[in-house]
Amino acid sequence: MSLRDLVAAECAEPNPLARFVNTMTGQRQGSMFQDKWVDRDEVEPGRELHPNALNRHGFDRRQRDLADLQHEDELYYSDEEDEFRNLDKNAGLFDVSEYEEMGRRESGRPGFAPRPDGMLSAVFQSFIHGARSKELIGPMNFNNSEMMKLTDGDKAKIRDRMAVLGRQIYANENPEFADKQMDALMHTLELGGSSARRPPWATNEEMDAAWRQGHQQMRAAPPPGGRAWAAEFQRGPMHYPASSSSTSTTSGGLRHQNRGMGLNANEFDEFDEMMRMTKENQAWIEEYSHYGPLGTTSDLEHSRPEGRQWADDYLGSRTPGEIEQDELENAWEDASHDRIMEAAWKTADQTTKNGQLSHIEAALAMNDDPKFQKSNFAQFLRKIQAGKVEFDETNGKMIEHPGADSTQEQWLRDYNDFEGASSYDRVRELSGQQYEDPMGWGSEYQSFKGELDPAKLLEYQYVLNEDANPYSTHANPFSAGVDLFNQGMITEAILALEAEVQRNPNNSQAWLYLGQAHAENDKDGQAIFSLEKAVQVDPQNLQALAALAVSYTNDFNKYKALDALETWLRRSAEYAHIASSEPFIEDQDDFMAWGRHTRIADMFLEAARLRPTDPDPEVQTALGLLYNLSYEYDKAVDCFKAALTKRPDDYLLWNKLGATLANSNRSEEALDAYTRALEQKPTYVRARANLGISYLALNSYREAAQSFLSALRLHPNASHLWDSLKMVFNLMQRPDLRDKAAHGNIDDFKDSDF
Amino acid sequence: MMKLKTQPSFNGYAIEFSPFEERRFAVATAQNFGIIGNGKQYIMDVHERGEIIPFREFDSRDGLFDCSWSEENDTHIVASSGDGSLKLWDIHARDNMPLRHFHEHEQEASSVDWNIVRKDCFVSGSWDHSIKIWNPRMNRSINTFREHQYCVYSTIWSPRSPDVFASVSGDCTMKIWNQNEARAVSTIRAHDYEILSCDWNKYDENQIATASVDKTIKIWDLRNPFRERSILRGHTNAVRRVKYSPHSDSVLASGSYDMSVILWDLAKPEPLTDRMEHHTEFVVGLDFNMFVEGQIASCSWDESVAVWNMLHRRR
Repeated sequence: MSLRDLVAAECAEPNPLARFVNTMTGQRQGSMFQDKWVDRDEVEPGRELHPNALNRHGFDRRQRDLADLQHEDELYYSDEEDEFRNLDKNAGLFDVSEYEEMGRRESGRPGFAPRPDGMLSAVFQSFIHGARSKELIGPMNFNNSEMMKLTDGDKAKIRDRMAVLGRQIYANENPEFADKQMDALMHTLELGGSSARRPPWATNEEMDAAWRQGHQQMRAAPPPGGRAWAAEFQRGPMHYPASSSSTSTTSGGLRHQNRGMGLNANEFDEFDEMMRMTKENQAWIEEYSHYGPLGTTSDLEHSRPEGRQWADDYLGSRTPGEIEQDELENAWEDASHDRIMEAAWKTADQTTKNGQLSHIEAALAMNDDPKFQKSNFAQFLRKIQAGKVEFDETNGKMIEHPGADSTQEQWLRDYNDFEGASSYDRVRELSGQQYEDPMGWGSEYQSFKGELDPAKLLEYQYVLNEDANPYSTHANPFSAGVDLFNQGMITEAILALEAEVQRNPNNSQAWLYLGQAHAENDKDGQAIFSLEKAVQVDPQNLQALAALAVSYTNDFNKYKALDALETWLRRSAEYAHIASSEPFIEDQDDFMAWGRHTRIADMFLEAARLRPTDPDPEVQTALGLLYNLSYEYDKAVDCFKAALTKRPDDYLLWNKLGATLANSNRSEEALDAYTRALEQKPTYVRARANLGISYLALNSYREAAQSFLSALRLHPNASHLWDSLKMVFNLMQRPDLRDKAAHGNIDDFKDSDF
Repeated sequence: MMKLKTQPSFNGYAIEFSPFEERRFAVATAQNFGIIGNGKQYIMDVHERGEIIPFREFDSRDGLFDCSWSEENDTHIVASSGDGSLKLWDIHARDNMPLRHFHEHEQEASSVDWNIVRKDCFVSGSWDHSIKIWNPRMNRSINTFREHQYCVYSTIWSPRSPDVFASVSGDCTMKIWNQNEARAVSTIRAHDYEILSCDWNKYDENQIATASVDKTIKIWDLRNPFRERSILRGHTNAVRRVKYSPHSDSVLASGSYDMSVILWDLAKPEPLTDRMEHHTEFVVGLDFNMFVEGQIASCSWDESVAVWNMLHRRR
């Protein structure tokens, strides 16, 4: 049966498929696919542009009409599927038998499930169905009568690619760990337990065996290249990898064999060491140590240009007589301490090789860069992990299962943009922020975005539990709220302050306290909303501006954080003159952010130099935030420490210091900082949660669980904390406790006996 | 900075300026971060009024991971696909079928690069650990090299020598090859972690940059394979793409999984000259325009493409 017959039987004329087939089989002649290299300068007379070729690609820079898009894609996919046929018919690149063979090869490949009727007819059938139902044809969809499950080939594909990408993303943190994460992910996807791809630095028994085998072969093989250094290369304890091991993967239908070769990591280290020693004896190293403006690696490592820069900044901030040798030495010691911590961190990683870590959640939690947590990719991983996403082949799209997180919707209702202006964007923005808690859980915003109705959202005001709010009739909810806040009864304080701002929306201080209360509860989205309001009501509320900068920084909303910091500087009585010489450029262009960051940091450094002996904690805190934004955690730590010398009982500052230390992998020091914060304010939920995260990073699961539990006792409704707790119980291999935690009832954990 | 969104769910993987037309560039994209789904090869133009206008797009069955313009025919572009195939398209063809379809790699074809000296062949690297050399007129590959022990992530021709290319792999090595020799000319264990990208200095045929999962970029002098010339630190996650400027012997750009693009100048005491955070997802593709000095294009998994001129930036 020819293509044409098939189509004519199935569908009548004006339909895209029929048109396509006509074009394909009828009007085209051989010249179409003439090899252009032969006569590249000649213009073929019969060769005109497809009538749509330009039109349909000159689409609007915004979204094209969806219907058009699908229609076009049908054509495209049709084209694509037929490419072999077309090529062999028209261009004679290979003949039909070759094509059929290709089809067999394709179907014989483990990556493609064998098709009973032959690939060709199945492919055409799917065309026809697709044309009829106006559905976008997923090219790998050969059985589109129902929403298919993934084929084995797709599964293998997903598995392999996730494994490769996952390792690229996580490997630098800890290869073994990444291995485990991927195993867990594959398990979740029911794609078989073992990883298909194992990079060379992974080791296990099979690898060792293969490695030994490779070593033996290597001895017999001639040295590669035959150069002098290659001989050196071989003399070392490193074993040049030769053949690949063929360790079959476990589950069926998987197309890859494990071809990773074992290069034992230790061997590599030894080799490196050996090479280094060899190098020292060679004359040319002299020559190369002078090579290039940067000098050699070791030069770089020892001089730590950033460290010097930082020291210069410090120098600049004091008059020469006041420079204390001790301080500089301390700064240097700190710098070297970093390296020690790095080494310790690596060792810690090594010790986890035996692998108690076995869940993807932990990987995500370990990478606590908020920007990473915010990325769609991280969310994608999480969704796959949580089983909330499936691949729908009929449409070639990922399908998310809705309704997993109703609290978010609830939140959006409650926290719609107060002014109602550009509410949709505003809500999007805030809701994005809301769920960027340190653990990054619950980012289900995408899944219900489609249901958002801007008009509907306009109706909402900041009305939270209005009828249930016991403080709505309170005589002075503001003072009650502040008292409650100071006593650490955050949830109650929020109710009282909400009652106050409902009654008196121009009370900037009330908004400020409300924002701080939300911030302490780890709710930066709400905090930002409240603090923005505080600043709007009273532009001179510098405290609110500073808090706003903090919340935006937590959220990694760099531009907003920079805005808040610059505004703070401009509105402060003491430092306004520094900024006044510069124009205020509220530039939202991402492009400018780096330059702007530098400019603002310079202004704050200048502000810091105004008070060389008596550092202003506000300025130091702002600098700390700025350095957090630019990932310069060491500098940030110094700034927060300087601020703490002035405000030793500022628990917020201690928490900031802890978070910064944790971000630079100094979790042990972070523990101290968080503990100091909690000494000052035992009810500080955020510090408790952070403490848990740091314990987790140090693999102290029991302590981590206790920290999360203590945070949950203060704030039992924090779903992200429950998730963290469940994860810790998973890591402790205590499914009983995990199931208990799944109920989300804090009363179940009266006695922390685990 | 000019920006354009690609179609939803199509994530950019590679971006390459045309070697013939100064306003034209190509973007290889893959659906769902290249994990499952289709691919799309975009051809786009930078217009004078500061806009990016899509010129054409081609669909493929599997995600596209890399692309490279033909050096001998201004309308031809080759792209490497997740199914292991390489597709050669004519951007003026009236339909969307590739002129040629090369399918020998058994696994994902991760890289493709056209020889800029000989102009009659291109090289591809694959997750099946192999490297293949192709002539666009021939259906079968000319040569296959199997020495890497893990996925090959990048294969780039030397800008000077007609037969020399470099390859980097997840096995932590960079290999330098002469396509007329069966074995690698040299093997450099360049990083302790997977190496994702490399590029040649256009003015110094011995200088090459490698970018790795270890967050660093290393600059190598091939005459000294034992130790890197310098290490560039600044990215906070794996560095996915590195490219040398065609207009300077010391400027390079890098894109990273930390979502930033960094510009480096090796001639400066502090080489990190600029960090741009205009993308909200992993930055995977990056290229310099050889006709317009300072013009750079980047693409990212945030489904957007950006073009800007580093010389015009306000600081």
